[in-house]
Amino acid sequence: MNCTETREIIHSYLNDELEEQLLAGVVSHLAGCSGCRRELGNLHTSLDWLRKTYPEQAPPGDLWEKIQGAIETR
Amino acid sequence: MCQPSGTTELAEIGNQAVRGPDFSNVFDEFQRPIYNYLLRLTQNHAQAEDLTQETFIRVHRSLPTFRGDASLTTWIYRIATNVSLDHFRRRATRQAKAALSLEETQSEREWVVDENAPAPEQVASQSEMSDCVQRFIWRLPPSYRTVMVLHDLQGLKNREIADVLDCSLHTVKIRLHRARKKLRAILDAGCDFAHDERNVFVCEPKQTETEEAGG
Ligand SMILES: [Zn+2]
Repeated sequence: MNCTETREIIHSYLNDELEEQLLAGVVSHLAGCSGCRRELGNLHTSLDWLRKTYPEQAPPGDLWEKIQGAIETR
Repeated sequence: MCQPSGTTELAEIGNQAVRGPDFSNVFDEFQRPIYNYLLRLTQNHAQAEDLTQETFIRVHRSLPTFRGDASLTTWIYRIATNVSLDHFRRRATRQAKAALSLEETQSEREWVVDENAPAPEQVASQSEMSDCVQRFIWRLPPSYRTVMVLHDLQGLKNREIADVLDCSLHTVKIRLHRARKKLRAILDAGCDFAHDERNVFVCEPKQTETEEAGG
């Protein structure tokens, strides 16, 4: 597998969505290619950034009561 | 809060196979992911709360007809997505803007700053993020935004997203790929993001010329 082919499926690799044969190809390419490893690292960094920027937040505590109220009055 | 007591819980589980999922159980399981999904799409707490309410009202109405053809997860996300689209359409209409849609044609256009993006002060109090950081997700075309939020923040699989959005797996993959590329481009070219001394995300434009002031 070459760099172009690897980068086409690197997202699927990151998503853990590659079939066994392709996965083996990517893994062995990454082992020998610092450029693609860097690309993968960048991808990790930006996803990490995304998750920190939009962290999970607790819903308001009175949601259930409000929904019950709305259902009853409709 | 809405958990039944121990004995009724057993009765609920017993009935579930016959009646389908119980609304209070569905609410307990999905209120958090759905609220966060809608918060990430709207970047506005009040709107996210309203849309979450609307989503669960529709879920309550439609639950008796849920047949299990789709998984409960994709079914509920589809309802939430429709609620959010209705919301954005209403807002776009109100502002006499072209309707936002999930259509491929629109999404393939170059990415532009969404003029409907919420004012930063609407969310700043809670998240304490700079304008630039907050607006990132609004700089993506709506269809990219939805796919990226569903996949990279909500943790859905591509296959599930295709079901939620009623589009092909191929389309989901392409949108996700491009959304991530744009994220990378913004991080590379636009700004340096870092934590300041108060551990708050800040944005430091790399160049002396910042973006043209919008809106
Ligand atoms: Zn390579």
